[in-house]
Amino acid sequence: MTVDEFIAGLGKLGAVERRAQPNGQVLAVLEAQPVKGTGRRSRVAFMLPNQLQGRPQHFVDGDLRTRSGGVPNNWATSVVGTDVFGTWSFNCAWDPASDTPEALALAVLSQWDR
Amino acid sequence: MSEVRGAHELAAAVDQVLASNREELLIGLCDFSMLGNWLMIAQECRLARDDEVHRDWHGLHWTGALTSEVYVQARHSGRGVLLLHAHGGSGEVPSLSKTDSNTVEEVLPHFGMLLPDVPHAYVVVNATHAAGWMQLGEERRALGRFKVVMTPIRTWASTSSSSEALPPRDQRQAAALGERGITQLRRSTIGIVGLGGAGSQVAEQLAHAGVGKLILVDGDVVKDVNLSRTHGTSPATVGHKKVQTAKAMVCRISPETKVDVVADSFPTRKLLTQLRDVDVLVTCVDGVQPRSELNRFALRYGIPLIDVGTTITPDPFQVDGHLSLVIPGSHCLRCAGHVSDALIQEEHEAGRQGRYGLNEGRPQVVSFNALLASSAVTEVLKLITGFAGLVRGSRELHYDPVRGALRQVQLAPGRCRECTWYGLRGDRA
Repeated sequence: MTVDEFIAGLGKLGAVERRAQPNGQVLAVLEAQPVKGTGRRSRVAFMLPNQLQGRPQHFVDGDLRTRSGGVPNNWATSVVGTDVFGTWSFNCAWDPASDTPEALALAVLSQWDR
Repeated sequence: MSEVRGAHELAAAVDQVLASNREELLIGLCDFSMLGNWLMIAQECRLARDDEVHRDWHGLHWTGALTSEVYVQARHSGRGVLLLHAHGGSGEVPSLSKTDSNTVEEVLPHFGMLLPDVPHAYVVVNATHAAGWMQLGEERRALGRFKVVMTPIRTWASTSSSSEALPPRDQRQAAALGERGITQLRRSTIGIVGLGGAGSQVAEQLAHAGVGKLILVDGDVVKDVNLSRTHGTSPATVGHKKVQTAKAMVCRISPETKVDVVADSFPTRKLLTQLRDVDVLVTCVDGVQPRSELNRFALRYGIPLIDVGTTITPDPFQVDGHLSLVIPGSHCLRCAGHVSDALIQEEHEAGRQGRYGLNEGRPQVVSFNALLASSAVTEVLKLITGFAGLVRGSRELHYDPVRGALRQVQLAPGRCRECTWYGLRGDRA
């Protein structure tokens, strides 16, 4: 799957912004989506290499919190432009050959309903 | 306070303007930041060529061709336009002549209309002060500060200040650092991120030195394991926020020092805004990811960064301390090897396994931090007061307390991709 194909798939959920990165990758930022259980919305972003061989690194808004007010214990935040995004590791198999980008974005958001 | 900021390239160009025996025009293309106050960050600058301007007894005038060329360059790069020239004198704010005022009324609205999404500036400097205007779209603001980030930091203030006799507490320092240096120190703002073993000592020493304002950042609370090395803590402060214990310590030492505290971990959007305009950023964090973020942040906004860290490995016993001074336009923490993709990956793996980061649970000794903290404060004093004169570029010091050796390490030539990508790019990077 290419960057363009991934972004096209993600675009089924909303507008996607492309942000070039110093390592040549592209950060694709999906406009804010509802986060079940938290009563708020968050953007979802993915760091995309030229060719996706596996699940790309994912991000959400840096101030997103679970219902109980927490974040994953391996939570890390980073700045892109003036935005603060957060990321963490979670067990989620995703194969670019068979799975859709929109399903991955929804899987990322579903982690926060706890 | 609206500000124009730059690095050594801007300094060299301004010095040419100031040293010339005729009126010169400096043309700059600037990235920018709209976090809080307007900030323009000079990326490219040059003096106008003789065929681009003409001079008469009124002064210097530029041609329509030059205006067009600058517009095309600014539009192509997405940057704002800086126009600067010098008036003679020093010690007080230069006043804009009638010609200057007319030019401001013509040129700034022109660029503001053609390139409304980026700020533009018209600046007049003399040896010590600056005056001028910045324009974004139809809005115009007075220039608050013109600053070149190098060692020492050169600041052209936009307001004149009365000279007052130094209080007795500053007199011994002034004998070494100079009265002007002490005055600069009293006006400076230093950000400290991480108030553990090293950061708390940096805060304590800067309070003694009499720094004007400190912004203290740490999201942690004092735990019993911190008592062995964190200055300002005691058993009674266990459970208190580290920023509050540090603030109490600073206020006790130097009631004149203003202190802002942020009990949060970098980065948050609020912290981006608060730390963007500090004169020096001192980072004493124990994670690679936050160190990487702070490195990028300092690069983007042209903030001098002093990073301090100590790692003790128990078996075999080894202590590796470092102090990195990162000057915009020179080597960064990634160039020096303190940040790398492999280290970040290793830290993430540690997080996955339920450990906090690479340094979680590692040994710490109060005195091992002390020399590096003192050295960090000395670097701050060099930057602010200029007591050591002109020092070029970034510096890297390594400290081995086992051997009692503090040595400067030569940085390899060449710069990493982060420097070139993020350097002075402002909000856009």
